Amino acid sequence: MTVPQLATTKVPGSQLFELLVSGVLDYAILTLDLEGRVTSWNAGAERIKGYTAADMVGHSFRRFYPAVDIEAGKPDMELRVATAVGRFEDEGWRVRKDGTQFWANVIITAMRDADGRHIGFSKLTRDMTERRAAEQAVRQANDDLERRVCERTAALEASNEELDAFTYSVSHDLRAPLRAIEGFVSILSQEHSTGLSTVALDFLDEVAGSARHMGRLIDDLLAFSRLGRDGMTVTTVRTREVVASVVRAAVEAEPDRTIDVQVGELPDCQADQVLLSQVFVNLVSNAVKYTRGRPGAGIRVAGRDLGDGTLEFSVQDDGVGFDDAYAGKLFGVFQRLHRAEDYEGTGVGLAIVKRIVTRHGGTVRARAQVGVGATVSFTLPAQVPT
Amino acid sequence: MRGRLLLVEDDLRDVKLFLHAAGAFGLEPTDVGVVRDGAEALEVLTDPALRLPDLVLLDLKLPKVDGLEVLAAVRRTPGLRRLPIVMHSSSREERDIAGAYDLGVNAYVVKTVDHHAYTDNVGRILSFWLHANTRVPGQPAVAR
Repeated sequence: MTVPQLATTKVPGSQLFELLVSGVLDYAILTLDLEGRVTSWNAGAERIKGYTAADMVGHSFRRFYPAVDIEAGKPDMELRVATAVGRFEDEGWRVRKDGTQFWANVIITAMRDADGRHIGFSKLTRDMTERRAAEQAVRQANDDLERRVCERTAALEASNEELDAFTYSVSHDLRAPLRAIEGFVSILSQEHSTGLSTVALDFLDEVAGSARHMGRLIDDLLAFSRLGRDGMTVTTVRTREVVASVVRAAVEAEPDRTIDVQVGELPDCQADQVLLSQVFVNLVSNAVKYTRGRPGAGIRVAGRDLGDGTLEFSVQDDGVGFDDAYAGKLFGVFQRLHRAEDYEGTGVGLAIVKRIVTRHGGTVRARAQVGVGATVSFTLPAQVPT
Repeated sequence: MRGRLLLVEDDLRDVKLFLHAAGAFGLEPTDVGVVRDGAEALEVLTDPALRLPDLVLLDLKLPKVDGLEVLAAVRRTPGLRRLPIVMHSSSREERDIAGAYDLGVNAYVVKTVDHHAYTDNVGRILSFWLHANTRVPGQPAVAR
């Protein structure tokens, strides 16, 4: 049978070209006639498919396909597409001489001579079995990882729920005896005062006050512990409006005082609106508290962009201030820098502020001078980490 | 202020405090029926021999059947559906408050630690429900 030399006629440097094609081991480079019979073979084809040139030349390329594809007419379809469109590319299973299958990337290109006549096809096949196995391994690893993440998240959520239920029931059970203490002591002081000395009444007052204080501690601790676990809903917050409403409420809560609060231009920010509001409530109410008894003391709320999208907000007051040397302790839970009898509080407010700001990816700091005032400022990044 | 109240409360001290505060507003101990858990509450409310109270003060945390379950059961029962129920609990948790409102509670009053505020609230509850509010039709007023 004569085999037309397709690849080597009318091509300059054909000897070099033949060397090139025949030497390639990683790609099967072969040619087919119009009916799909093999007309040339290279070393790569032998390596990948197992057949020698003697085995294949003159025989149909259908041999490379699994039986199911041959029945479906796939090989002929590929030639038709290549003829119509110019090329056909596919990834699929092909069969070696020994019957084993490999995953192939195949490109069939219609070959035209210098006069444009369709004279046959070139076929490039690459064995992708290893790469496919690697891809599947990666996919499997990804799936495994995702599954493990899901399991861990579920476990974490379950343990969070347990903790939540625990803190909820503990705080409820702790409150009940407190109410009893406060209630009965209150009745004693009010309705049975005739039998009691001033000292006794005073001591009863201490008992009731302690109970009330403990109630607040429980509430604040509950809120604080919640903060670490509840999810955040980050949106664009109109800081100006949040602060305006916080200031309004703070002023209304002190009807006997004229409080001077100035609110500057506050840029919108990315934050959980409820939590951000809590931050301002705590900072503003602190400022209101520590300016008590100092007429003319003002409070200023300001905000600015630090340039890279990070925003800085601050609440400054001309209140009693604190010793800056202890500024580091300010944000600890139950930490107070003033005497409890001078300024009431549980020492959790700033710890809550710090926790919220940290969850948003920001930082908080405070500066003060005794007798002059204090400034608490915090930053919020342009993007809140999820 | 007179009227008939069912107090559903498991803590004896809370019962004492309530009766004391209610007494200051004219409510006699005989006006108040006290049950110590949700199961007992439902028994009393569904007993055909007993007249329905004008108001139920319902605690949240109760043994056997809790407050929300009592509320749900009452709102499901045709003869009891209209019964005025005020939840009286120390819980400020949103899920408890929302849960109670979802089940059709008439009001939710938090039991404060501050006794002064607590007493004020008890007075307000009694004044509103036993005095200002119009009773559910078909239920006779206290026969005294």
